[in-house]
Amino acid sequence: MALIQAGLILVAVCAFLLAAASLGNLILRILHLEMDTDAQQLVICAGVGVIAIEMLLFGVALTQQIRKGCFVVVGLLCVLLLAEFKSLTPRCSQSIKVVFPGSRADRFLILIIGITLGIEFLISLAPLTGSDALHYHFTTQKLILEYGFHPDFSISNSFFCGQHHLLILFGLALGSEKLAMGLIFLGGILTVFSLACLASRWSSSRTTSAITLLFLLTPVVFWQISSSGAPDIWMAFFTSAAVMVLCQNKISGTWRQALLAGLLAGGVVGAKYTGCLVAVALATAIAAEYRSMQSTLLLGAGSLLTGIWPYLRNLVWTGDPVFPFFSTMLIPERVNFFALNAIRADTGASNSSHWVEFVPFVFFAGMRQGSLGFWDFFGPIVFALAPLWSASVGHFHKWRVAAVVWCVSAVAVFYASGLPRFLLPVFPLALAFTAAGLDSSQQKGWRIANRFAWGLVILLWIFGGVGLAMYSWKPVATALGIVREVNYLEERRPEYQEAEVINRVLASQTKGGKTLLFIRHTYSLDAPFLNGDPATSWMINPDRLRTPQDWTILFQKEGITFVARSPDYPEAIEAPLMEMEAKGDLIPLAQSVVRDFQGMRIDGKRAEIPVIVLRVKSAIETQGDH
Amino acid sequence: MGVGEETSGYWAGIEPSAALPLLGSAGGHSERRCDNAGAHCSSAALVSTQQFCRRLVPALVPPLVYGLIRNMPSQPCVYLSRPAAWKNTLSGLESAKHYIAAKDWLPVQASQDRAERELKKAMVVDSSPQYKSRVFREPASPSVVIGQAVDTKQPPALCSSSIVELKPELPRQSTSRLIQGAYCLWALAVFLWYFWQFFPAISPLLKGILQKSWH
Repeated sequence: MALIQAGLILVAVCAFLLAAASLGNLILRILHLEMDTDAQQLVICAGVGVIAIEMLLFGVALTQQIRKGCFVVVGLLCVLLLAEFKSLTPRCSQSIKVVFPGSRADRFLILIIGITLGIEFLISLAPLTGSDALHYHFTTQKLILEYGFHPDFSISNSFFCGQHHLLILFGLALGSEKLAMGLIFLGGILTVFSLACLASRWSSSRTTSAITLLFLLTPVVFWQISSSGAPDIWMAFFTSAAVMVLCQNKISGTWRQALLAGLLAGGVVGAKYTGCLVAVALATAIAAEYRSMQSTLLLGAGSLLTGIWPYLRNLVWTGDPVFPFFSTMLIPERVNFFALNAIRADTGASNSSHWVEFVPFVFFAGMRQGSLGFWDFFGPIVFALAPLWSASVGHFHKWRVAAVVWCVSAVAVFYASGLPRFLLPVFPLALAFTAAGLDSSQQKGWRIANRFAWGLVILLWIFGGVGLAMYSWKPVATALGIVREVNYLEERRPEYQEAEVINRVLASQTKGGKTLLFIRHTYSLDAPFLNGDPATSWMINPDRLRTPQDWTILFQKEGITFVARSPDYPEAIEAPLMEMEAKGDLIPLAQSVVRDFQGMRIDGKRAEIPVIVLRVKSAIETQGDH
Repeated sequence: MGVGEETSGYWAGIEPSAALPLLGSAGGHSERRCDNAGAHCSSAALVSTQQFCRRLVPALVPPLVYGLIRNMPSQPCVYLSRPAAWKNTLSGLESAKHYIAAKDWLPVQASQDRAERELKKAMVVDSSPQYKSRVFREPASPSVVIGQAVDTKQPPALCSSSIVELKPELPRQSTSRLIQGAYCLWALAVFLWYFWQFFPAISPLLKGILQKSWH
C-alpha cells in the first residue's frame, strides 16, 4: 500500500512537472525564446511554468476559495499538458538521449545519481519532522486552509512565507502532505538538472555527473530536498536557471533574455527576503556583462512581476513589506521589540561576523560554532579546489556572469545575515565552477593535482553517502510501510507527544475557544491555538503583558479558554501567569508526562517532560453567563 | 565527410596561416569572433575581459584571484599539448579556441610525422560525429602541427573550433610539480581544518554508531 502511494505521488509530481513545462513552453513560444539545447529549454520552461502557477495560486488564495481554486488550477494544467504534449515530447526524448552518454563509467554515475534521487524521494514521503516546517512552513499553510488567507501574528515567521510556500498550500489543498513534500522534492530535481546543464557548459560529461552526485550527497542539500519541509531549494533552482539564461548564446544580449532572466529571478526574490540579494547580484551581472540599462531594468521589471507578491501581501497586512525587519521605521507604534530581537538573532541579522570568517563563508566553508549542525554543511570541496580555477583563468569570460552572481550574493548574505545555509541558492554555481576547475587541471596536464582533487571528491561521496544512509534508513522504512508512522513520529517529530496530549485533553472538552500554548512545533495540533511564546509570536509582547489583568484582557479579546504548558512558561512572561495560577485564575484540567527531545534534536537527548493543561477561569464564567 | 579528414564547412575560409592570428586573443577578448563566411556576431557580448576586470572585479574577487587575472598576458599564449589531451579539448568544446597546457610533451626526438600521425589518430578516436576536424602544418613554421575541430551543431556565427599544437622543441615547465604540490597541500589543509571544525557535530553520530554496533 505504501509503495502504491509512493508511486502515485511520483506520478503526480511528474505530471505537475510536465504541466509546468507545458505552461512555460507556451510562454516562451509567445516570447519567441529558444535556449541553446533542448535540455536547457525544458528546464527553463519548467521554471517559468512553476512561477506562473505560483502566481495563479496567489490569486486563488486571495479569493479565499482555496480548495476549489486549486482544483481549477489542476484542471487548467491538465488542459495545458494535453495541448503542449506534442511539442514537449521530442525535446524530452532528445534530452534523455543526452543524459545517457556512451561510456560505462558515465552510465554508472547516472545510475548512482538515480538511486540517490530515489532514496531522497522516499525520505520526502515520510511524515514531516523538520523543525521549521512544523513551526511555520507547513503550519501556516494548514491554518490558511482552515481559517482563510489572513495574517497570523501569533506565528511571526508566517510572514516569511514566500511564493514557493504556495506549492505546499497546493499540495495540502489537494489533500496530501506527501504531495506537498513531493513538490519540494521537485525543486531539488530541477536544481539537479540546472546544475548539470550549467556544469556541462564548462566541463566534461563525467565531471558533470560526478559533481551532480556530490551535490545530491551534500548534507545540507539532501536535507533540504527530502525532509526539511522548507521550499528553499527552489531558490537554488531559480538562481541557476536565471544564470543559465544569461549564459545563452542564441539569445545573447536581447531584451527577451533579460526579461526571461528577470522572470526567473522573481522566483528567488519571492521565496525569501535574502532572495532580493541574489536578484541584486543578477542585476549586477547583467549590467556588467551587457552594459545596458535597458537590460538591467527589464530584469528588474521581470523579477518584480513574478516575485513581488509576498512583499505586497506583507505591506497590506502589516505595513512593512519585509515584516518585521523594517517595522521600527514603518510601524513603530506596533513594534514588539522582544519578538523582533529574537527574530533578528534567529535569522542572523543581529550577528556581527568577523572578517576572518569572510573568505571561508564565501567559499561555503563557513560555520557557526554557536549552533553547529549539518544544516550548514556544504562540505569543503569548493574552498579546497578553488585554486584549481587558476588553471583555467584564461576562460574567465565564460564564467563571469555566474561568478558575479555568486560573489555578490555571498558577500551580501555574509553582511546581511552570516548564516551559511542562506548560500544554498548559489551553491550549484560554485559546484559548476569546481567541475570546471577539475577539468581544467586535467587539460593543463596537472596529473597529480587532478588525481588528488578527484580523490577528495570520492572521499566526500563516501562521507555524504554514509551520512545519507544513516539519515535515510528510518524515514525510508516508514515511507515503505515497514515502520509504523506513529512510532516514527514519536521517535523523530519534536513535541509530537506534547501535542498529542493537548489534542486528547481538548477533544474531551465540549466547549472551548483557543488554547494558549508555548510549544514551537504546532503542526500536529488539531484544536485552534494561539502561540504564546514571545520569541516567536508578535502578539505576545512582554512589555505590554506585565500583570494578570493584562493577560485576562488578552484571553477575553482572543477567546482563549485553555492554557497548556510543558513544563514551564517562557521566562519573559512567567511571573504574571504563575500569579494567575496561584490565584486560581488558571485551573489545572489535566496533567501528563511524555518523553521528548531535550535541547537540539540532533543531540538525541530525551527527557521526561510534564504537560499541564489549564482552564481559564474567566472564560468559564463568561460561558456560564451566556 | 569523415572525422579526421579535411573539411570544407562554413569555417573553411580560414586558411591555416590565418588561423593563429585570428586565435591570438587568449585572455584578452570574448571568444566570439566572426568567420569570413558572412555570419555576424552579437556585439552586445563583445566585452573585453580585461576591461571588465579592471572596472568591476577588484571589488568582487579576492586580491589573489584579481592578481592572476590582471597579469594575464595580452599576447596570445601558445601552449603545447599531446594528442591524448585532444579528448579533453573536444569534451569542453564550445568556444572559438582552446589552448591546452601540456604536461607530457612529445619527446624531442619524435619526428613530426609521428606527431602528425598521433594527432590524427587521437582526433579520429576521440571525436564524435558532431565535430569535423583536420590536421595541418602552419606554413610559416612547419614544425608546428595543428589540429582543428569545429562543432557542427553550433551556429556559424560562433565559429566553434579547437586547436591543439604540438611543438616538441619547447621545454617542460619545471614549476608544474611545485604548483601541484602546493595545491594538494592547500586542499588537504582545508579538508582537515573543515572536518576538525565540524567534529563537535560529527562526533555524536560516530558515538551513536559505535554504541549501536557495540551493543
